[in-house]
Amino acid sequence: MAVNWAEVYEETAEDLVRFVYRKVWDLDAARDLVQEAFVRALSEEPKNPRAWLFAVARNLARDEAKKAIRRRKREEILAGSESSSAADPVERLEGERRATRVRRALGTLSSRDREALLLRESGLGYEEIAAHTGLSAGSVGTTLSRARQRFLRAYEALEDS
Amino acid sequence: MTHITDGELEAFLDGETLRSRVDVEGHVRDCQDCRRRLAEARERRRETADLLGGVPRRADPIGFQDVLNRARTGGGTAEIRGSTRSRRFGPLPLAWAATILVSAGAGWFARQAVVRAPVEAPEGYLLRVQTPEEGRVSELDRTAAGAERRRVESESGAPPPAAEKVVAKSREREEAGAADAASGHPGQMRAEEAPMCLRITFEARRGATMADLLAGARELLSDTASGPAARPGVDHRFGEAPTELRLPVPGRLAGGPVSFWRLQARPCEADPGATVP
Repeated sequence: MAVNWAEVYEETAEDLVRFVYRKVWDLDAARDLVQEAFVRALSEEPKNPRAWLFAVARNLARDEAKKAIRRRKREEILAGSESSSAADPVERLEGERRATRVRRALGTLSSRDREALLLRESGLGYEEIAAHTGLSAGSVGTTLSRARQRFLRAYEALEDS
Repeated sequence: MTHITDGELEAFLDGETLRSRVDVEGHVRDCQDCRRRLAEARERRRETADLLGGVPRRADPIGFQDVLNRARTGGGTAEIRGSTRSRRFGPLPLAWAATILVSAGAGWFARQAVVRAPVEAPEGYLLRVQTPEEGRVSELDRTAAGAERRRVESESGAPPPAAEKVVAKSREREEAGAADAASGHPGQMRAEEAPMCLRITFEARRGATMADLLAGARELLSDTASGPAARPGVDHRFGEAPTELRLPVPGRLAGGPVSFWRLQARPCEADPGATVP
């Protein structure tokens, strides 16, 4: 049966952007990578488009990580110059600090815990998370529980520091 | 009953079924400790979602059309960043976008239907689509010349001139024979030496969605499989190229976002029909 790519896109793109964004921390890069994943999917016609897209997006994000850091800095500069006249500077500064803490807190997790958590927060089910991470579906819940606890502890510690 | 583990609580809150929901709900009702842990887990989920859920939004959200356009240009990730984005994601040539779209469905189509037609077919000659799974064949030619030819051929029982030149492999003969029998028009189609695969391109009006276009592709196949009588007024004829068929949009698609179809039949070996052109 043909894949309705428009539907897949509608159902998956936003989750994918969220997932990739948390890896590259650059919205433009995340959007580009998600587009790239879909472009590849159109020619590959994978049997399980959603799982395939997440796997490809993850690999693309990994490959682009270093570039993404540079792009993020550039974007922050641009965003800062664009929004400085409109947004409350205090609010903006707090938002940036929070984003930095989130990034650092995620960085304290093991790669598997972080991957499981980000996949779950992007809307993937346990079976899908298991397929992506190599975990058994039965242990995904435990992994997620541990990941959430460690993430929040790390975040709170950064807030206090 | 044993206490519920953190993983089971997490799965419970995620709607996954590591342990029966009835079990968990019953236990939580009776166990103060697990009830507290469930509340904590719920709070952790809320906090985590709050911290991780928000992604900055842009005023120009990317759409699927952008993906199609990007597929068309075949650009790599690095090429579309920064200032090149607006240039490459400019106004869409919808016909081309539609081509890409159909290519996305081409794998499906190529699996579903094989067109066999005389390579040197004259204008107005019959072209039929066979759906292998259903073994059905229908005519696409509804021109006056085609109708007259069908009538003459039907009365004489003779194959069309172009078909006489065709040397078909035995399997293809069998398929063509089965197809002819199914169509009720014996002798009007012959297999070519090489099976011809079908590729569709079409033009669409602005606003057409992929769903529209794929639905159209399915409808076209359905239409051709069910026979020309199901689509009165549809004019099927060859275009300029001998192996190209132009089809005005049939039936209920008329007035919709898809304006017309173009079918191209090419040798399967040369063009598997499942890749982006």
